[in-house]
Amino acid sequence: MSDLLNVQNLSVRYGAIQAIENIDLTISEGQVVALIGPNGAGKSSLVNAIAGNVRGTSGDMTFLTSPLLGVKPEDRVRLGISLVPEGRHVFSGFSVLENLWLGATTRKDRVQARQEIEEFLELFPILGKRRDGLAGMLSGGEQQQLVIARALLAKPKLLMLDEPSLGLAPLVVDQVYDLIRDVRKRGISVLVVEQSTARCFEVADQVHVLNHGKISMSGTPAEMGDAARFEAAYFGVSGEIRT
Amino acid sequence: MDLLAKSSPNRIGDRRKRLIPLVSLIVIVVLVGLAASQGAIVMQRRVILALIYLVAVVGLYIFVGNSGVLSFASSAFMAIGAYTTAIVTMAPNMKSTFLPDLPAFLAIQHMPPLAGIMLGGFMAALIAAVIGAPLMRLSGISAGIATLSLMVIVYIVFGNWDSVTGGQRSLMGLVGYVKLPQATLFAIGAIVIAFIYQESRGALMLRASREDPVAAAASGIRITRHRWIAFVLSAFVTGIAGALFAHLQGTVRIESFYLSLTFLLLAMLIVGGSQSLAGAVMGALALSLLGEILRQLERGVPILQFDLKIPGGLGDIVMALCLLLILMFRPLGLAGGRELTFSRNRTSGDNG
Amino acid sequence: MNSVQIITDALSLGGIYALTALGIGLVFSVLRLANFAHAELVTVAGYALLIGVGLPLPLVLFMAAAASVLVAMATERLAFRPLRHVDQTTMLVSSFAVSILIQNIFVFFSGSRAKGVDILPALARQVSVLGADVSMVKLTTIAVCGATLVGLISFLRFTRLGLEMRAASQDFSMARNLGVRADRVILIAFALSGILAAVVGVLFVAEVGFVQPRLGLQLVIISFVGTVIGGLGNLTGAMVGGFLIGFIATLLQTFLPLELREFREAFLFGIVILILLVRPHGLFPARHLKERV
Repeated sequence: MSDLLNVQNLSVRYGAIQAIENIDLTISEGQVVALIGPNGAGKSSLVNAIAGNVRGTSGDMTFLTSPLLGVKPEDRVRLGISLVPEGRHVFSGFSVLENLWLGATTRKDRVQARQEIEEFLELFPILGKRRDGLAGMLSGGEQQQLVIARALLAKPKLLMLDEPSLGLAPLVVDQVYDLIRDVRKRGISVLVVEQSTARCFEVADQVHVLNHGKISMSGTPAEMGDAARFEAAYFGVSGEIRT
Repeated sequence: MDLLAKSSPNRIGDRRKRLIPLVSLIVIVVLVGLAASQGAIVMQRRVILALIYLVAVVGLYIFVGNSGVLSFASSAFMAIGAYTTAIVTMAPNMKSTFLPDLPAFLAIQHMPPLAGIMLGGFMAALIAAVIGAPLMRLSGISAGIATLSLMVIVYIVFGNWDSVTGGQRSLMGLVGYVKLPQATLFAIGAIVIAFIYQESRGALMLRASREDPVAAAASGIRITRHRWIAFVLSAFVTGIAGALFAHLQGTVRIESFYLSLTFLLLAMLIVGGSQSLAGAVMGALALSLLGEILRQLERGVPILQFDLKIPGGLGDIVMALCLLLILMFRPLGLAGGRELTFSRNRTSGDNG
Repeated sequence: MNSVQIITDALSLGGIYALTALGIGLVFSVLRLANFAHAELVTVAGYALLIGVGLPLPLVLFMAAAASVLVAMATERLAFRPLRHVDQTTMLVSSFAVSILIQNIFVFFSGSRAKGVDILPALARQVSVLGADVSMVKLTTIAVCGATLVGLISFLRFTRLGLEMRAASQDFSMARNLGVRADRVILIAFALSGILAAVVGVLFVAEVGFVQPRLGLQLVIISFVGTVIGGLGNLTGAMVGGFLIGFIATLLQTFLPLELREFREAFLFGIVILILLVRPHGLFPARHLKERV
């Protein structure tokens, strides 16, 4: 597998606050990577730096062969990086269909895009039923389906999901993770950020633990051992730091 | 709010240090006044005008700088100050010419200019107190529009209230009371008032609310009341500036007190830096100086054997251009939100 | 004055204010800039008419539109783009600076006095509508404003670019993460505001018959107020706010007693303050007025 994303020595700070420090991260093509850590560990800063929403203070990032430094977020989408941000961010005053079309902003092949939109509306019958309804009226899980579909319409090579299960019922979270497996089958790499571990372990090829802005542990789920035991250890660590 | 209650082991030294920004600004103003006193009479008038703008900008700063809320009301308060002093200080025989329908109790007034100027400040403060009470709940663009509306209302009312203001006609024959010494003293007075106010507990709370209104409100600061106090004080100082303006020109016309004046004062404040008193003072002086240089260039300046002259009207274009460039390259203003402390590592208590 | 005349007045004045408020609102919705220099976009269309006197009408109208659009885009590229990251108040003040700059350029080249422009003499007559004499200019104004509104709404609703603009105004950062190009959307918002300003400039000059450097100023201040009471950041609100201001102004003009009529703008702005006190975020507050990053 060849490298898709290569992050080297990346640091982000907001004024006096160091959000992440000297992060190294590699994602290969077709790989699912999970990033876990407590609140405020710098997970969102990392994905937002990759998406171009926050500027790295120092360090390098390359995507395939393109350096990402100085590339605007909208151009990173064109390179193949899509972010589903924390809190989902549907355009609530817009219809479901309009939201999906926004996902196809970068597409030149409109006929093909229209067809894919129809496929998504079939894949998620609830979205199909409410295609002309306001996206803001959907439930949390339906919105999550909508924003993942929206992000996929940009034909990303790397899909980043920032806390996709936040605020969703367990059953709905199952659906979301089924969707992630489905995404992976399409050959798309996934970077998924979570606070909890169990589900990440089911889908991830590689797991990184982020604490206090630094990667404190990395490995395959197998190397990390039993999820429950790992979680105990991990919460032990984070509990100390959290205060 | 612990910062405010900070007690220093060496209070006297601390207090002296805190006065450095004030003293520096006063020294600057005195130097400007002294330098101008050596110049020609035309030059002196320009400097007097600059000092009057300084008073008005400091007045604007008291509200905008401390509360972080935008106000367009400057020219309204200046108009109130100017018309008040005109009506109470003009000689009764002049008033019978210009304002034949003036109510009798105003027609007989013949106060000395200083009394008229102070009264001008008080009238502006009074009107600000009444109108400001409900307005202070607004912030952001809404507050800007409300004060803009206030300015338009004063302009329309004064421009059409023929019996009291003379409407569109000019009022003439005011005593030319404001000379360099007076202008300098009033400028110092305005700076002192603004400084004392910004060191007060209320102003510190207001600035805290500017940084984070939600947290400030949650910690029990009554933003609205403190804003109102700043607004009234700001109107008082601005009203005085208007009255001074009237006693410099000797005439009062409503056309002087509209958008261009408000823009100019706001531009001076923003160029200097709206977050510090030093910024207000520097902005007023810097733009006045720039305006004067351009005016001289339009008239032609002999340099060696050449006569450097720019076409008439180009000065205003260059002025606006400079304003834009300053905003682009120093968005926090010339002072960058700091007071003058003459030490490298302190950034003044202003950021508290 | 009968009711047909009052309604014509209110609709034509409201239409002018609504288009201006929309022009200001479009730029505000994507950039959070309250652009006072919109006034000069209106004025420059007027001066284009002055230059084009004697040329065929379609050409003159094209010149007016091109002038406003070019100036709008130039101010974006040269002035507002470098200022994107400064705070709102500084942006507002810089838009004054741009406004004064362009005004003084007009003064420099054309003097500060008003110059007569009679572009559409055919409109300077009265026609009879339902038994009332109504000026042709006002009827034209209503028709053109209506058509422009329909055009703008269709653009925003049914085109991809319109969709991107609406998305950018609701959540700029998310829109960019979907590939919406920030620079392009902002530039197009300015261009559209230029077109709206040109329409207003032509109609306004047709009505008053002259141009001068401060032609657009009062119009823009009143419309700006319309944008705010409608609800800044909400385009429907801007439109409604503009019409509302036009209606109130017409009603004040018609029904205020004669001795108070010269104070009508004072009443108008008094009403504005009252509306803001009751609804600080306007009549139709924007749902997602997020800061642009």
